[in-house]
Amino acid sequence: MTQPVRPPADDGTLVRIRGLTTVLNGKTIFDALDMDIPRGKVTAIMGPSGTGKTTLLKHITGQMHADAGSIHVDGRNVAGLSREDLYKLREGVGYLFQNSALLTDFDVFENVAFPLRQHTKLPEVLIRNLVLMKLQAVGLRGAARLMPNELSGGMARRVALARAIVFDPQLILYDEPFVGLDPVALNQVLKLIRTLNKTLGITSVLVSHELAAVQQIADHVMLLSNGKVVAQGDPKTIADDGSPWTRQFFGGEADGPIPFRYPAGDYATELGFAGAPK
Amino acid sequence: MSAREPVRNNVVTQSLAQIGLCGLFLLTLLAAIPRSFRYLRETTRQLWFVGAMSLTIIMVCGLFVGMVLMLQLYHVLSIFGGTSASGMVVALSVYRELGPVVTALLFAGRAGTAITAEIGLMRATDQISAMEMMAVDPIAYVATPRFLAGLIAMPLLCCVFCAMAVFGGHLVGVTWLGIDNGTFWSNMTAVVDVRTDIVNGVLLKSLAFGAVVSLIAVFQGFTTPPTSEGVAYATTRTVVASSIAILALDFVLTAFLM
Amino acid sequence: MSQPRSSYAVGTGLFIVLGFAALAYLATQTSSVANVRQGDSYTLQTQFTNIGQLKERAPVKIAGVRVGQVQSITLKPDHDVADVTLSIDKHYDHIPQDSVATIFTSGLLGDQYVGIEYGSAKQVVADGGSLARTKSTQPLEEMLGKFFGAGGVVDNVGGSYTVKANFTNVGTLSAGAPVKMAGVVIGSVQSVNADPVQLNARVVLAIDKRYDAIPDDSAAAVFTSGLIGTQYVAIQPGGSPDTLKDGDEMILTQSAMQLEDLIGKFLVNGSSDKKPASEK
Ligand SMILES: Nc1ncnc2c1ncn2[C@@H]1O[C@H](COP(=O)(O)OP(=O)(O)OP(=O)(O)O)[C@@H](O)[C@H]1O
Ligand SMILES: [Mg+2]
Repeated sequence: MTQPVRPPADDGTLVRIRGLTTVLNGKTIFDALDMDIPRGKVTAIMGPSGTGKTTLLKHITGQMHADAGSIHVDGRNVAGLSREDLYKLREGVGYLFQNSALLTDFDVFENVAFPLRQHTKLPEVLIRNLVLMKLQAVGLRGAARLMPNELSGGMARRVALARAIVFDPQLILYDEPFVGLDPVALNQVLKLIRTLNKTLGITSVLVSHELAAVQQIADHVMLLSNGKVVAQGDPKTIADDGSPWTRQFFGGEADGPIPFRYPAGDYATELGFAGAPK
Repeated sequence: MSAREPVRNNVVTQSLAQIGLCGLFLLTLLAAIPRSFRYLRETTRQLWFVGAMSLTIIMVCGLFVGMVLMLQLYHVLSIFGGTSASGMVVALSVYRELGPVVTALLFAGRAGTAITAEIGLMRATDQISAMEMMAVDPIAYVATPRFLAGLIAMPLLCCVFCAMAVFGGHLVGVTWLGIDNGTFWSNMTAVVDVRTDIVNGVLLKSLAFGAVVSLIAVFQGFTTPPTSEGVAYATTRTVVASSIAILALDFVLTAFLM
Repeated sequence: MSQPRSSYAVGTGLFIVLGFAALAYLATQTSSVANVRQGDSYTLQTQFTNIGQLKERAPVKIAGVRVGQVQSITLKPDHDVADVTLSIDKHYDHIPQDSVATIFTSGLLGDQYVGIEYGSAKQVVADGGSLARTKSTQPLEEMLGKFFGAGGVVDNVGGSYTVKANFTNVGTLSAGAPVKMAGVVIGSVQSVNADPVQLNARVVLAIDKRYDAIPDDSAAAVFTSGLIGTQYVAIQPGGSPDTLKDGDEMILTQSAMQLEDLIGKFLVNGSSDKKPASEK
């Protein structure tokens, strides 16, 4: 661990997950999950709500720890890193929170500038230009002086996106970047993610429910359900690969292997219809 | 972390557990001080929020405490013809007890609650996680600067409070009730001692109170469940726990310093 | 963008400066460090044989009006008088050289100040000059004696006889304190001395001749008027047919109670008083 000897097989894989098992509140979120996220590609992770997509991203960034299994990011075992090393790792990882998580103390400009101010000693002019460039990319340069509470949900997402990419990290994790975006903004964001990936070679992990959007930019799709990767493949063809998982998920059917409901006891019993409770 | 603790109904064990966790949290805070030096600007900003923004209430309250104290003392001391000592008694009681204690209580209500609510909401809206993700240590960036700001602000606020109280006492005693100006000051300066009254009384006590109040406020903010209800409870707990801690600590400090 | 940042910094800086200014004010102006120098004033030297409770910064008054304050009080090792330097407002620079500086007390327990009574000399004292004529403070005991002497019926001229009483503890009883019977003043304490043989306090009471029928087994007690008031001697009459004569000694005495005892009794009484009330 002290000597970062990187396995040669790492070349094509940026994030390698092996046997990941996590139980939260008695519910098995991951069940011996194996996953490889290729370097320099856009990988989409899809799956039903509550299946653990956000939790998976938190595992990758070391915010949560698994009960068993390992996660290697760029060859380093996340769970085994000291806090300094973990923070060093995170400096190279952008993260778009599902609920924006802008710092309410600061205006839009300072929010985007925050990582730069914390980790660099760049001159003010340079910070200004970098921030304005990123804000321009998400179409919010004019909103630089607004406070987070003055933004709409979609605007806040785009600011959070600008903040996640301001450092030009080697890996960006997007947790549902398309939620609440109008078609125009959606297209802009799609283009942005693709540009970042193509021109800078940034590895992107995209959690999203929107197949249409995913199909436009993702190189690879993984379908997560019941703590496992149940299907993966090319986004254009995955919907018709014939497996019952993909058929149900992309077809939106209620019946199938994917449980729609959170595990619960018998419905009638809980409502008190089936005899006396207790 | 605390949410996973087995729920105990016993108030004593719960309070003890809180004190224990608070103590551990203090160690974390202190350990983060070297790392928080790079966030000096944040400490300055917090000093503005907890210190400078509390000035008005501290000054107004100090003024009135001095005024009412003088009014009361004048009437009691006039029975013995000792009204000339009232300025001295105002100064002594304010420096030794009322100044630090009242300032700390006001500080807990004004700044402590704000710190708890702010941190609780930052956690509820994932801002703390966002900082962690941006490789910014929330303890060093959020907790320690607020703790340090409270530590620095309290003695300064207490000095302002005491000065205003003396001014208020002078206003009532000399301007209204006609105590001789020179008598007022001469009695005061003859008795008030820099070491026992100002260093031990005003400065040391308020420094200790500042540490306790800001520790409790930051601790509550960081450990409460990140929900609106959790934040509401934590804010209340900050005031209750701070008040008890201030008065208990005041007794201990007085016993040791006198 | 540096606008809000620098305004925080400035505000915070102002706050810190204000806090330290307040601290400096407390430490230098309201504490013993305070060394007062007034703007436009000049100094006068005076000497007193007894300054009593006079303190630095105590007021200096002329005709009751404040004109300055006491700047310093020093005692030279080879002197038996205290050197008191007065700082007087430049306004009042026409104080005659033969004026008298007196230490007065405002009220019975009040604070002391220096009063200057003008003389008639043409020459005025200059800056740094001195007032030769001074009247020192009178000890509280003498004052009390005068106070009660004036208020009481006893007058040495009217004739009184003396009796002696020994107390194990007289508290703060002093000469001039009243002697009362049934709450009425009938005389005063003439002297309080330690008895070299019996090792207790020998108190001589001067009692008005009119009260010559006091039984010789009467008890003398040192009482305190109120919780922190002055002490006096109370005589509780006995039942003997013989009366006290001049020079007699009273056998039954009750010493002064310590404040601690008093408070203890006070508290006990207070609580026992309450009980019957609450039973109602
Ligand atoms: N801190 C936690 N403690 C206990 N259980 C948790 C915690 N966080 C998440 N869970 C559980 O983990 C499961 C996965 O949550 P997660 O947020 O990862 O879902 P998700 O796949 O991102 O869903 P969505 O698409 O709705 O965002 C949920 O069932 C949730 O109840
Ligand atoms: Mg999610």
